[in-house]
This record gives sequence, C-alpha cells and structure tokens, in this order.
Amino acid sequence: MMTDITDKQNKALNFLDSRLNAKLLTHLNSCVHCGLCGTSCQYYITEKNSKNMPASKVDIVASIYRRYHTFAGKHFPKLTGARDLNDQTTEEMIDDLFGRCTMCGRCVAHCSIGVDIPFVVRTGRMMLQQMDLVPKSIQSTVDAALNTGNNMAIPTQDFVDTINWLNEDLQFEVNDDEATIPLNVHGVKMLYTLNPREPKFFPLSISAIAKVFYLAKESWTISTEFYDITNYAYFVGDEEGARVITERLINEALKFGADTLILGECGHGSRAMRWEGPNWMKAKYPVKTITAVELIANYIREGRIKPDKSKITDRVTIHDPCNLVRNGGIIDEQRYIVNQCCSDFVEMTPHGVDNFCCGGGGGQLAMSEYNDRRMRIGKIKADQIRATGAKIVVTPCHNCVDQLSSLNVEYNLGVTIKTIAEIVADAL
Amino acid sequence: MSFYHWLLLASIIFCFIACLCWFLKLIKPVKDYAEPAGTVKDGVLYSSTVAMLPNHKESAYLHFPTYIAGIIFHIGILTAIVLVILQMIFPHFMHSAALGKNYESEIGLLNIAHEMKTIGNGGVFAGWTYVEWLRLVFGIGLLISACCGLGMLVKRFTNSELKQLSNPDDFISSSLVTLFLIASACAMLFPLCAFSKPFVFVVATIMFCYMPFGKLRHFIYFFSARYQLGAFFGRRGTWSMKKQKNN
Ligand code: SF4
Ligand code: SF4
Repeated sequence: MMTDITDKQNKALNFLDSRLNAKLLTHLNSCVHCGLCGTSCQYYITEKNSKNMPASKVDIVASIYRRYHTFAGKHFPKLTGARDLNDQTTEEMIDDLFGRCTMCGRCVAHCSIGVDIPFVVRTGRMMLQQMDLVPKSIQSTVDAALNTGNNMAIPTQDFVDTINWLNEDLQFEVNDDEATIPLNVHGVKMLYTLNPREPKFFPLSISAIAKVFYLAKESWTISTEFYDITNYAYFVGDEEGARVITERLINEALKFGADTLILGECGHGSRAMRWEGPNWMKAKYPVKTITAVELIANYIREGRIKPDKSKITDRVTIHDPCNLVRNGGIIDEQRYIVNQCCSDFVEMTPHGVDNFCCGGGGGQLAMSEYNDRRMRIGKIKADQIRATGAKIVVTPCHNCVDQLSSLNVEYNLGVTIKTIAEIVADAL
Repeated sequence: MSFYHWLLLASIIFCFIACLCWFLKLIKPVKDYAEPAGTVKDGVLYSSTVAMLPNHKESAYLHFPTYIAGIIFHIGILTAIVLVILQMIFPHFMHSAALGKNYESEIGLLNIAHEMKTIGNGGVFAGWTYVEWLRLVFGIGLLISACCGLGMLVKRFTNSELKQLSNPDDFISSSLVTLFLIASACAMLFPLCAFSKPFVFVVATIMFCYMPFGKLRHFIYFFSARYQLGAFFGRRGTWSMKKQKNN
C-alpha cells in the first residue's frame, strides 16, 4: 500500500509526471545496476561507499518513478526496489542529489549503458525544489540573484565604485588616460556579463578583460543593473527562477542595442545561458551569444590582439570547467589561446571532455554544509595539478577559480590560478 | 506443435506488445530551442561507435574481466533467443540423421551441411555432420556465456556495494537469464533428451513474460540511451567524429 503523501510531495510527483518525456523515461529506465560507474566519479573514488556511486544517485529518483509509474512498482514495490516519496526518501534525496554530486557529467560517457546521470540528478533536485527542500545556503544565493540582480547582492553603487577604481588600473595597463570600462553605453555591439565574484573578490579579472577589449578595439559595455552570468537557479532546479535570470540578460542586451551577449568566464552560467536558457524561454534568442573564450580565440586568430608567449615562461596547465567543456562543447579554444600566450603548456591527465571536476560544481561552492566533502573530492584535482609541475593553472570559470584557490591552500600546491582573460592580458 | 510451443509463442507476443508500448513512449522527439553547435547525426554516430569502444569507457577498461563477461553474456543471450525462436518455428531445427531422427531441416544452410561429407573420421565424432558440430559450438558457447552470467551473479551477491545497489529484480533477472542460457545450452548439447526442449521452452516463456516488468527491458532503453546521449553531446559539439580525429 502506498503511504499517504503531503500536498508538497504530491506537487513533486505531479511535477515528475509532467516531465516524463522520451529523454527522462530513457534515463530513468536504463540503469542495470552494474556498478561500473563508481570508478568514474570523484565522490566514489575518494570514499568507496555505495551512496557515492552515480547509479545510487540515479536510483533514488528512478525508484520513486518506478513506484508511481510502473506496474511492478505499483503492485510489487519490493521486487524492483520501488520507493514511496516520503520524509525518509526526501531526506536521502537531499543528501545524495545536493551533497554527493557536482553534476559534472564525467560518469555519463563512462557508464556502460549511457545513462545521463546529472540529468536525472537535476530532475531529482527539481522535485526537491517543488517541495521547498533546497538546502537553505544555496537557496539564499538564488534568492539574492532574483531579488537584487546578482547572486552576491552587491549594491549597484558599490559595483560602479569598483569599476571606477579599476579604470585607473586599465589606464595604467594600456597607457591611455582616456581608457575606461564602458558602463551602460547604448548602441554598442556587445554586452559583457561577469561573475559577481569578480567585483567582490577578483576585480583584476575585470580590468584584464577590459584590456583585451581595449586592444581589440571592441564595441562593448557592461550593464550596472544586470551583469550576473551565474544562474544558481539552474542548480537548484528552479526553472522559473532560471528563466527570469536568463531573460534579464537577454533584455539587457536588447536595451543597449547589442547584437551579441558575451558570456563571461563562468562554466555553469555559460551553459545555462547558451544551452538551457532558450528552453526555459521556449524561444530562440533574439541576440547572439558567445563565450569570452571563443571571442578571445577569435581576436587572436584575426590578429586583433597579439599575445607574446615569451612573456609567460612558467609552466601552465588548464583546468577544464565541466559545464563549458564536456557539457558545452568548448574544448579546443582555451588550448589554442593558452598555446598562443605561454611557452610551456602541459595538459593534465585526464583532460578535456574526460576531465575531473574541481569539486566545486553543481552549486557545491554555495553549500557550506558539504564543505568537507567538497575539499575531500578536490584532492583528485589537486593531485592532477601537482603531477603537471605547473606553476600557473588557467581556467575559464570563476567558480573553478574559487575552488582551485581553496585547493591551492588546502593541499599546498603553490600555484597561481588565472582566468583566460588574465593570462591573455599578461601576455599582451 | 505441443503446448509448450504455444506457451512460448504467446509469451513472445505478450513481451513484444508490452515492450512496444514502452518503446513508443521513447520516439517522440524532445524540442530543443538552443542553436546547435554540432549535429545530432554526428553525435549519435559517435555515441554508437567510438564512444562504445572499450578504450573509451572506464566501465570497460578499468573493469575488463567484468566487461568481457558482460559482452559474452549478452552475445549468448541474443544467440539463445534466436535459437529458441527458430526451434519454436521449425520443430526439426538442427536435427539430423546422426541424431537418430528424421532429418528435415528447413534451414538451407543446414540442409547443405547435411549433404556434405561428414568431417569426423572415427571415435565419438564418427558420422558427425556440420549440424552436430554447430550444436556443439553453440552448446559450449552458451555454457561459457552462462558461466559469465553466473560469475556476475556471484559478484552481485558477494560485493557489498554492488549488493546494496541491487534490488530483488536484479537477482531474479540475472538468474532467469542465466538459467535460460543453461537450458539453451542443454537443448543444443542433449538433443535426444526428452526434457531438453520443453525445459528451454518453459524457461524462455517465463523469461519473456517477466521481461517487460523488470530490468530485462533495458534492452529497449539501451538503444534509446545511446541515441539521447549522442543527440545531447552531438548538438553541443562535444561528440563528433571530426573532433575525435583532431584530438
Ligand atoms: S554504469 Fe551506468 S548502468 Fe551501470 S550502474 Fe552505473 S549508471 Fe547504472
Ligand atoms: S555527475 Fe559527476 S559528481 Fe555526479 S555522479 Fe557523475 S561523476 Fe559523480
């Protein structure tokens, strides 16, 4: 007999029901419990516990699906491990889906069947969101973005003050007293977006990209109202919130007459805008989007900027952000750029589409309750970095920069972490 | 046809209809509004070829014995299903004079085999035609496949993490299929035994009846999963033959 369910649980089940298209049905029914995916997941590699197996994370959602949508699950739940949606399962879902998965997708290509594990994890997170069971820490990040326009709730005046202060840095760098970071300029070609961590903690990355744009003679601007490329609503499974965040940036580009939205160096933000946003808006965008990495690679190819690789002689390696690389298809551009800017570039093993997550993906950086796990799983990345012997780690994602900076301290790596814009600016 | 022939036929029809119902839910395309960076075709091609190679999957190269056992197991199942269906349709399938029965093979290939000279010259193989040799090869092959199934079943019982991941259906499905392989092997190796054919038919009937309810139906979802994965990574430009060549 099925247990009684609350209104919220009912809402979550109705939500699941509404999402059962060909893709979700496929991935909810495919896992054969072979357990061979464990060795591809950083959680399982660092702690051999069946809860950390990718299949376990799929199964908590699939077992609920089986209970309410299959004959065997409805009538003989024990037979297929079908489970009621109740307080116990929701508690497990929170821990498994928020606390044990960065949604990096590394396990997907290695699964013997081809189950899209993070897709199922995200569906489970959406169900939790329907029940208002998103961990408070990450929910507050989403709320800040929705209520203030950026996930760090930076007041507009503070942002403007930071940019004005950075203008001096830019003028010194390009030796031009007239050089400025253009704010709210109408009639430009491109609208640039950034991660609020930049004005808050890493402002020099803004002057670095400004230097690149200045030398490339780009027509661009930053909006002081909506500039945040991050989209934590995507991580918590709040599609309405994610749509609002997406739409704001598109509208902002239209407001300034820009025909292109530049997706700043943020892996999940770029993915959300580039690949998920049109589906949340149920329409193709009226403007083009391009990642900062692709744009900079184009500048170099077209000769609009000319990096000098003799300026950076330290060994450099690249960390591939999962959402930009594996889940976003940007694989070669960052390698092209770094090869043009540095004389000693080495790859990590593995790298590219097979890379390991830094450990901070999937919203982990915003969930302090899982900090210990985040730092533990990050050891894999720390070991990879150490093995390269690199002095500089380049990554086109500010969330990754944050996590890598923590790993740098925790594991005593002695490296410098830079974004693509920063390494390019250094080579100009 | 005897009653167990009819039972098997009914179970196959039931299984086919039930699986068709599952399958029909999988063919409705999912609309994607994002501008593609690559093509679905390219991705699906990659997903169903290169991405399946053992050197591209950790589930294969980090677990090679299990991977090989799994491949042999699945080849065995496919072969056994084909054989049992042929035995159901052609009651004298793979019978020959050497088996002491009237030989009337409906399969051209085996008929030709029967006409050819026997290849055994003496000993236990004296008078054997290709039919007997084929039976032996299939029988031993299916037994090896059954051993692989047994091995994986033992692993599921003894590996604590795998056991925790498993539900009763996993054990039942694996046991049922392994039993089917053993029964199929017996039908090949002991054609004169009165029970060998009813045995494989009854086990196959149970297996086909159970298939739509448990994890055995993953054979439908496997192809759909490869397609969905190829479509996902193909559109995003992550998976393509061209990129593979460049890297
Ligand atoms: S490898 Fe794939 S099919 Fe096997 S247990 Fe993991 S998710 Fe399931
Ligand atoms: S998506 Fe990444 S973190 Fe999540 S289960 Fe797969 S490998 Fe592990």
